[in-house]
Amino acid sequence: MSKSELIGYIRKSKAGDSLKICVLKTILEKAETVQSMDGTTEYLTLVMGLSRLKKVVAGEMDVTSVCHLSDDEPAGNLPLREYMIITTDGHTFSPRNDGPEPDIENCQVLGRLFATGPKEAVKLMLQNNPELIEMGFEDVIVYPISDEATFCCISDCK
Amino acid sequence: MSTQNELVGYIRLSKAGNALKLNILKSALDRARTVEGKDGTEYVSLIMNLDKIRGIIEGAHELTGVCTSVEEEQG
Repeated sequence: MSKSELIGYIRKSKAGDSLKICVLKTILEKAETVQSMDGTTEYLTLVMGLSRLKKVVAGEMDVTSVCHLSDDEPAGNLPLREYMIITTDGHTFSPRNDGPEPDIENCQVLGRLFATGPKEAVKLMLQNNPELIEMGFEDVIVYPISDEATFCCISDCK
Repeated sequence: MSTQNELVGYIRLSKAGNALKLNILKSALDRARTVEGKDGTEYVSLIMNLDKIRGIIEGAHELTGVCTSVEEEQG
């Protein structure tokens, strides 16, 4: 069975004339390789979803993921899924609030990442952002993301 | 020292047509430019020409090269 592992991201360059890929060096070093037909060259194969990449090229999305495909899946290894973690803890500022006090009690997005389950998603988020614990965040809601996001302006949807 | 772009692989449309596949020379990774994330994670940085990628997506090109920046001593 083929396993897809998230190893980096791709984005448009600031100049807008190229695409930049950043891939985790530690994973690349141990990733499986394929050999060229003459057997002299070893290649790593990475893959990117075309629909999302088209959106990055068109400027509709900032980044999309880069994955590595490998054929052998270790026993008990669950497939990765994308999760969004939100919280109702804390307060935020509305766009026109220039005052010192926050005026909105809404949900905040704490993280969006790939994991094998909701608990692992929270664990990974805390590993990457340990300051969230010190900030006092406690209750979170973890949603699996099942579809691509739609970006729109509130004024266009009245 | 000067920085030059070195070809390290190629990118093409998958046979199924729903993904782009990138093949990178494993031997080139050691010399490839790396960048460090805010958390200290090391990333290998690769670059591709946007117009050529558009050509692949639209079917005008079969494949294009993937480069990395390498520092070379002059002289």
